Formats: sequence, C-alpha cells, structure tokens
Amino acid sequence: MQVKVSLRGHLVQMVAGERFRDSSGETVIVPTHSSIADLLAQVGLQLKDVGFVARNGVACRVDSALSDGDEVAVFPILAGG
Amino acid sequence: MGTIVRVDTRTHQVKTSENTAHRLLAGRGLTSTIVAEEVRPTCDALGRFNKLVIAPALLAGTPAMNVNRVSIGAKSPLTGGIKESNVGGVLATALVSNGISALVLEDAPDGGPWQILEITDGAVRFLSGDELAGLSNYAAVERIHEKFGEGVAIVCIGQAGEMGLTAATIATTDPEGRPSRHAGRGGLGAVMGSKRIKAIVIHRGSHRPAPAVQLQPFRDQVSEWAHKLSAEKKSLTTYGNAQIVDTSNGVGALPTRNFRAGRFEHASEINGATMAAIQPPRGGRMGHACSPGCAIRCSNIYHGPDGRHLTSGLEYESIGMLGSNLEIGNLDDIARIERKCDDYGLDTIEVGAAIGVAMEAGLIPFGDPAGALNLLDEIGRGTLLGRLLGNGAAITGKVLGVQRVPVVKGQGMAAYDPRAMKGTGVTYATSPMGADHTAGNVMPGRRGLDSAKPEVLPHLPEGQVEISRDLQVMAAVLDCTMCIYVGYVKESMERLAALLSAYFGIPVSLEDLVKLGRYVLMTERKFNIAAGVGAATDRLPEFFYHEPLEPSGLVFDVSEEDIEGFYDFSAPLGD
Repeated sequence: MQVKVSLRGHLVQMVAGERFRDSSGETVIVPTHSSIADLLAQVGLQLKDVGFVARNGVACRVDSALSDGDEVAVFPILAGG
Repeated sequence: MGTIVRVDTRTHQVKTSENTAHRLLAGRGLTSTIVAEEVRPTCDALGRFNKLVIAPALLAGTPAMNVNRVSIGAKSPLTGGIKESNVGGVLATALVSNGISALVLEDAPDGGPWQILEITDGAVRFLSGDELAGLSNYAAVERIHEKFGEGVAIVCIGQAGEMGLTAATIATTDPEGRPSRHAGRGGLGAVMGSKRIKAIVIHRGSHRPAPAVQLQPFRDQVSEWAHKLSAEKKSLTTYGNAQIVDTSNGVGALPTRNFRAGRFEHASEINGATMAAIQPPRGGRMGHACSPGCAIRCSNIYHGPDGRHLTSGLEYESIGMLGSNLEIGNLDDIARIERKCDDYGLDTIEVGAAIGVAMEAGLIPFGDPAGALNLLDEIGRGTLLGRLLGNGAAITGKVLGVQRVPVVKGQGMAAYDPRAMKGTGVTYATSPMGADHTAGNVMPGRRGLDSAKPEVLPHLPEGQVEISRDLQVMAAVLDCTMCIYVGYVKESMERLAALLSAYFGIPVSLEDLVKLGRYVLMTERKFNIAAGVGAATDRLPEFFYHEPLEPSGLVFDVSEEDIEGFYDFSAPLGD
C-alpha cells in the first residue's frame, strides 16, 4: 500500500538523500499491515530521534497500523515552547 | 549565597541583607517565596503594597550552561494572582556580578518624577529618569548606552509600562545590547511603572559565585550535558522555536482567526524553515544565544527585506498569536508587529490575543497587518482605544462585546489551542500563572516523570491532568535553575540533581527537586487562593467546551472533576 510521508525539522537531514524535504510529502510503498514504527524503520529513522508522529493530522502512537493513502508527518523531539 | 537588596521606591532608602533562603530557592522559587511572604494577596497590584522581585537563577554566573536566566515576580495586575515571568539576556550575569540574589522594589511614590536605578558593585543609587520618560524601549536603551556606556545591562519599560497597562512587559537587554528579551507575561511592566522606575542600569561588578565544591565532577557534568544539548537540539539551533509552527499546525493546534481554527493555510510561510531560509541572505541569523553560556542557541536576529535589523528573538508564540491568530501569513509583517510590541513594551501574546478579539469584533478585518500596526500605535500613543487593547484580551472582549476570548484568570492564551493540545489546556486552567504555556506545555510526544506510563496523545482527555502536573512541577524546578529549553523531562531532572550535588557537595536527589517544584506551585497556589484567584477560576472559557475546533472538530473535554484534583498533593520543601 502507499502512504505519503513528510519529515520535519532536522529529521530531513537524518535520512539519506534528504528525500523527504518536501513538506507536502513523499510517497512510500509499505507492506500491508505495516505500523508507523515499521514505516519509520523503512525510511531509516530511529525511534529515539522521533518526538511524535501525526497520521492524517492527528497524533498517534508508533504501534498504530497504517492504512492505504495515509498521510504521515514525523516530528523531532521538541524542547521549549 | 549573595544578598537581598531592598529598594524603597518611595523613600529611596536601600537595605542590603544576606540571602538566607533555602539553598535551592532562586529564580522563581525565590521571587514567589518573597511575594508570598511579604505581599498582601488582596493588595492593589499597582499600589504601595506590591513588590517587584528580580532574582537570577540558582547557578547563574557559574560555568554551567543554560543557567543565566532571571525570574521577575510580583502580584500581577492582569490576573490578580502571583506572577513569575522568566527572561534571558545579560541580566542574570550582571546581577550575580554584583552579588545580588534578589533585587526587591518596594512601596511606591505618589506619582512624581521618573527614576533610574544605577547599580555599581552591589550599591544602588537613584538618578533622575525624566529624560527617558515617554521613550520607547529601543530609544531609551540608546540614551542609556550613550550615558552609561555599552557594557551595562539594562532593565526598562516602554510607554505601556509607564501608562500602567496590564499587557506591559519589562524589557532586558540581549548580548547585542538591544531590549529584545522581555519578562512578558502578567503585566509586570505596569508594576515597575507604578514604582516610577523607568530603567535599572547595572554595571558589571567583580563578584563571582562560589565555585563548585566538587569541582571536577561539576565540570564533567556540565561538559557532558552541554555536548548532549548541543547535539540533540540541532533543530532548535537551525530553525529556532519557530519550528513549532509545523508541530502545532500538524496536530491542528495553531490558533487561527481568534482560535476558530487550528490549521493555518499559510503555516509554511511563517515557520522556522522559512525564517532560516530568508535570514542569512539578509544578514540576519538563526542559532543566536540570547544569554551567555547557552548550548542550544534557539534565538535569532531578524533582518527586514532591506537588510537592516528589524527585531531579535522572534519566537513561535509571537508568530502564532500575531500571525496565524490574526490571519497574517507573512513573517516580515509579523516581525514588524513584534518589533513594535518590543519597543512599546508589550506582551506579544496578550496583544495578539487582544487584537484577535478586536478583529473578531470587526474593528479591523482579519489578515490586516497595516491595521494591526495602527492599533499598536494607538497603544503607544495612549489613546482610549490603545489603552483598551493594552489592558489585554479579557477587557477588550468585554468592552467590544466579544465572547470568544481566549483567556484564563484574565490572561491571554499562548499559541496552543487547548482543544487539540489538552494537556496544555489543563496547564492553562490550573497554573497559578493563568494561561501561561511556559508553566508546563504538554507538547505532543512529551512524557511525565514516570516514563513507564504510556504516551499521552494530545487530542484525547485521558492522562492530561497527570502529565500537566508533572510538567508544571518540572517547569517550576527549571524556573529556579535553568532555561526550560533544556527540556522538562525526567532526564533533565536527573542531570540537574547530579549537577547540583556536585555544586553543593551534598546529595541533591530527583525527589528533592520534585519537592522543590511542588513547593513552588503550592506556595503560589496559596497566595492565589488568598487573593481570590482559587479553584473557581481553574476553567477555560466556555466556548472551548462546546465549539468544535476546525478542522478536527475537537472540543476541550477533560473532566472538571479531574481538573479539580490537580492540587491533590502536599508540598513541604524539606531540609
């Protein structure tokens, strides 16, 4: 299935080739029944570097299952604010 | 331990005594303790019985990183409760170099001429400030530098503070000598103005804080933590906290059109990436340290399209409240509005909330930056309309007949919609500070003191009271000791405990710090209850409970019963 992925902040630089630079998202093909954690591993991000993930504009846990067509935004750990 | 310097602004007498407070009480812990012990809770915040307390953080002036912060406290004329507003800049190191643990401005004259306080080697003298009267912050600071030299640290108020407006800030100078760092919240500039003090000028003294008892372990802790902060906070260094535009917008919590929506169609034009892209070619820069010894450097120096300095420290909360909240989607427009706020000495959050309410009332349309700048000039000139706006969102809403007013305890919310970030909503409701995100901002992905507990999702009501409480406790600890940008997480508390243990040469535990945070919160809570700002005011405005936030449809649904249990803890400080 296909999902659209965007990375925020310095997470862009943490993935080879900076292929997720476009904030509107990059299409990624993932196996059926993949979770958010599976997707993060597939794009080359470690959980320790991820602050939170929003799926279709709503924050979710990394063990959440993905559905075809989901839009996934991945945010770095934030301090301050 | 340093000294407590008490300045009677009525008689001009100055008394200096040794600071005998508990060794962990500094910054907010010290300002709130002094205010709670010495200020009558029912007093007029702009009258003779209020006190303005200025206290550097615990390790300020030492080689530790991110410790050069200052707390400014008083009874707030905006909320009617106790207030602490935290600020960076060069003030902390200047106070410590004069051996000062707290500067307390007491009493108030019956009008009369404006004064400047000049501090040299711990001694205070009054000088005429009349030549500065009526000047904005940038103009006043320029005059002060001409007269006293470039090396002084400056605390001053603009026209807003002189007029006693409850959105008035206290400005302090940054490392470039500009009045860009503000103790912004709660109208403390009006308290300073009520004492007829236009500015405080502090010469660098020769006092040095005591060295760490366990010098090498202290150095090792500092080195390790500083490297870790520098490595892990690269996003803040690169994009500043303006990156939070993406976060808030991503979870639908970015206030838009007076808190009607949580998504802004122009978010990508006002975010950290845009700022980081446009500033270097203009001569501005990201990665600026607002205070000496900062390992994170989240501040910025913002230049306009003409390549000249426009403002410094343009932060997310200003971008949200003066930008998306007003439907203004251009960073330069926002920077111009923010500069005017800094210059007149106005809280960008409170003024952003007030102008949002004024736009809701139809005074000017949403998306009108020129109109917003005109309204700010009304405040600076002290017109009737300007004084209305300069007294904050709550009064603006009452006078203009608007019920969608985003305030708690009379104070405007920061740029986080509580329907989509419910833990921050709990903090707004329960903090002794009123709707103040810095008291414990439950950003998505944050965890409380018990890291074994499952992650709390920002849009669900479950677990929000507990995590808000944990974050408020940790925020209170950091307000005594360090910049909150080191992160109010359990790991920071553990590192801080180790750092303090090495500094004092006696064990300081995580539990000791939790006790400190609870003590600070409960001290402030008791003051507020006696001031009439107790449990009945721990509520968000009604529209948040029933008006769905666009586009998520979320409402604030943390139960009142849960919120009423927020303060179910005891708070002895211990030995």
